[in-house]
Amino acid sequence: MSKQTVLRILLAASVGMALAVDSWAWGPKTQQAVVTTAMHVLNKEGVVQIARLSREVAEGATATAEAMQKIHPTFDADPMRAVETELRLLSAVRGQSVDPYFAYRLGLLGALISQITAPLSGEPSIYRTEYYDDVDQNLQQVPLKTGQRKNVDVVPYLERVQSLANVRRDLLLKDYQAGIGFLGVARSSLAEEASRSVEAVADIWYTLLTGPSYQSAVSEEQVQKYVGDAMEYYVQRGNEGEIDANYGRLSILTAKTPVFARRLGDIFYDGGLYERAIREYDVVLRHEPGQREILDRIATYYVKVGDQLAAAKRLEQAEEAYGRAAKVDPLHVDAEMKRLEMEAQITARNARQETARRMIEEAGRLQTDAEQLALEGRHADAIGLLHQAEAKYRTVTSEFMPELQAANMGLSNIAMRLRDLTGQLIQNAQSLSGSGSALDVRRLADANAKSIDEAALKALNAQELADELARVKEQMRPALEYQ
Amino acid sequence: MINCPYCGKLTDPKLDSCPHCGGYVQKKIPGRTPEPKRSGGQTCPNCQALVHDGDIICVGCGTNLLTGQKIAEEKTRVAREPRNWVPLAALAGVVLVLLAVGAIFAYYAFTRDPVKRAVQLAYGGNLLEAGNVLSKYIESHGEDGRAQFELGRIQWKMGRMTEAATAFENAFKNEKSNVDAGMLAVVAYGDSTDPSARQRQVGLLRDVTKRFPENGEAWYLLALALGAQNDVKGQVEALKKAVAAGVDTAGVRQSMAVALGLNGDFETAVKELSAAASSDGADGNTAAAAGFVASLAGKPEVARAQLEEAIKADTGVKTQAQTRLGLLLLAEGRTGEAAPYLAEAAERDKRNVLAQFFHAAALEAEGNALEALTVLEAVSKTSDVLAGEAAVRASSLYLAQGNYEKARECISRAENASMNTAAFHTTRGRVFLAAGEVDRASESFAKAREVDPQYAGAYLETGLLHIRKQAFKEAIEQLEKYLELAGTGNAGARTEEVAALVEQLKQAATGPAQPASSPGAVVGRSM
Repeated sequence: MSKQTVLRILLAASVGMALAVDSWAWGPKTQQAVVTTAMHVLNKEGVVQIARLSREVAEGATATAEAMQKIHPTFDADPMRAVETELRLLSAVRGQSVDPYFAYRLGLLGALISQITAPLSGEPSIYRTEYYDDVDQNLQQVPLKTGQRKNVDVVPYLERVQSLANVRRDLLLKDYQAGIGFLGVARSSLAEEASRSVEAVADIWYTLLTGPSYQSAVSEEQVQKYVGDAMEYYVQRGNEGEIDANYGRLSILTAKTPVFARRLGDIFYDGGLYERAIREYDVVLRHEPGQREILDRIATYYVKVGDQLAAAKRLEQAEEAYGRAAKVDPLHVDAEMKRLEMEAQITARNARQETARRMIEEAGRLQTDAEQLALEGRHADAIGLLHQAEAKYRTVTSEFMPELQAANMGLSNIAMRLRDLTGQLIQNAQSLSGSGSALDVRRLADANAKSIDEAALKALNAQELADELARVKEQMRPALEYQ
Repeated sequence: MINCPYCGKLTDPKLDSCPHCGGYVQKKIPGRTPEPKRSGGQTCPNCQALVHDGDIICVGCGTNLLTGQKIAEEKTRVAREPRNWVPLAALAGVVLVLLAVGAIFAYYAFTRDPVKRAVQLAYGGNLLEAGNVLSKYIESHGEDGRAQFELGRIQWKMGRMTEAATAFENAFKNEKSNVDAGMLAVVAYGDSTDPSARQRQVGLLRDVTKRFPENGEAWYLLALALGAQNDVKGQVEALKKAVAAGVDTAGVRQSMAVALGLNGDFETAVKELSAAASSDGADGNTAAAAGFVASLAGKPEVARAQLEEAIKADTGVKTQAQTRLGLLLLAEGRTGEAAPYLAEAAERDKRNVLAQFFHAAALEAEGNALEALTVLEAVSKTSDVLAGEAAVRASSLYLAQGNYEKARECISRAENASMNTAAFHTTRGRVFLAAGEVDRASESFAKAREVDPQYAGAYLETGLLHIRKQAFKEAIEQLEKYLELAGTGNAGARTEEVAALVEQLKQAATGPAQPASSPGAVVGRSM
């Protein structure tokens, strides 16, 4: 496979990737294609194994104008000097390997270079826009040529490349003014133009990656800004491991000044990495203890932590967090109030917990007593005690998990014992059958009582009658005798 | 001097009648034809009844065959004769002679009186002939009170009390002043076996008391006789009359109390009994009466004390007193004390099924089930009204022993005795339940509640059946009804255990324990 064929494939792949992102440069597609093709060229040439970071490179190549302006505020005024400055900075901070943010900055650098090396770059007009659009449309069919990599002096190099890019300026403009457009010189020169941009990006990256370090030419502020931007980048990506790894590597590039620490603290704080932020803020406060804003931020963070812990019922930790907040910023509007409130809640919670434990103990004693009563056959009393124990267990809430588990275990035992005792209850209850007949004796006795009484009185009367008749009979016996 | 045409003895012809025999000598009765010489075929001139030679009085109508006058008429005539003492004084000697003759004549005549003759026969021990003579005589002389009286005496002697009573009663009717006849009739009716004797006795006593209202004894007997007829109001009135007539003995007071007690006037009855008890005649009967009156008045403690005293002092109603005392003790749950009284009552009177039945109940309550069953089985096989109840109780006892077959046999016996009591249906349901026939058991319990909604045992068994089904709510309702009806104070009813069971059921009905963390766990359990 020829070198041109390979580059054509790489360019096609780069255009394909560019279609998937929002970008601008030559035309957005072309700009990204130039940068990523340069990346693949260097990767292929073994200069740097950066293909694994192609996403970050492409991200840098397609960075928004605001992002680019933030990093290179002087680019519009002096683009070549800006590229030089960036090259020096990146060479100063480059390490043994390329990290994602460095790749991002390479992409960004590539984008700057591609803008500088694009034809008509200094001719903002409708024809330039049409040309760039046409290039975007036709770039895939363009064979690119690259030469040997070389270390370059950035500014002269870029001036030379830019002058070459402007060689066909008039022809291009004429074709477009004449309505020939891309079918004219533009089409025939596209491969050369695009190849030049790719070559420029690749050469400058090569110089950056293989050339001398420009640490002495880079200010502490530039490095700190780079490190800050890098950390901001990583915080936005939200990968803690990545943050850790790169924080350790980057933090050694520069001294942790209060301002730098403050920036890092703010980055971490805004990114929700409060503990890291506070560590940075602590650095600041060690140097400038009275920083009200930082104190308020730290205190607010601890209050927030306290709120979260309080919501999670981790009252001691919450109180501690509120305490920290109050300690950091005694003037914080909520910290001390919430600490006191939490203290009260802890006291109340402890009281409730003590009550729950007492309930469990009492329920346990009741269960023991119930078992004793059950052994004595006093099932009613046993069941009553079990229900009392049950009621005590039920006062235990999920606020205290160990106690709740103990209570649930007790309730399970009670449920089992109640089932047993209920079974015995049913069995024993049948022994009462027939007891009602004991009442029959009294009922029958009562039913017969009156008749017995009356019969007896009548018998007494009859007996008295008989006695009286006998007495009269005896009395009249003489009248009956024959004398 | 002439010979008396009747007696043949020498008689003064100037006299109208023979001084020896009283026979008419010269003076003829106006309008009367001279009587032909009487022979064995002569008849009474008055009633034409056949008379014999030598008869002086016609046994048919009482006509003096010598004078032609009836005895009563003669007496009347004699009574109506003016008592002219002057001529009589002159003839005193003659009269004396005549009296002597008359006495002789009377002796002779009276020895010919069938009543006298009967009396003589009775005196000689020939009661049967005497009775026949009098009966024959009375056939034609029913109004002869004396004859009736004598007949009564003879019948009495012969032990024929109903006939004696009738004769005395007739004598009393014919001889209004013969109170003895009346009283003897009353006494004889008392010994009579005639079903109407009591009624006739009461009627006679009413007549006696009407004719002799001052006769306190008659009033007392009337009161007692009325009492025997269950006429307690009449008895009370009669007793008051007896007291008014001066009869005020302990017996009268006791009888008054008995009558008042039977009439429901317990307060006055108790006063009368107090009076009787403080008098000399008080005895075991008085205490017994006090006991039974107190029992009727709903004062079991007094009744128990009085009956115990009556039993100690001995009373004519000792068996009843023992039975009643046994029942009182049973009702108080003092089954151990009740058993001996009931046992003795049953022993003293083998027909006292009531005492036997309750003796068995006492034995059962004392835990002597085997002996109780023996008695109950015996009672259940009698024709007594308690036979069915005994069968039911025996069935219940067999169930308690787990002897299902015997229980079923006894309940069948009760069913054959047409038992339809709540106790029967309840025990029948228990028998069904023992056989595993739950539905039939439930129906029987329902029938028991229908027959007697106040029968506690049916609710207990229904409740226990619900427990078997684990329908605790329904069981609680039934058992609470049982407790309401059973009341307290009967250990055998095991109400305390049932109450405890109800509490258990209420607790058991609350359902299984919920996890402590479950919603609403603190609020409490759910039914």
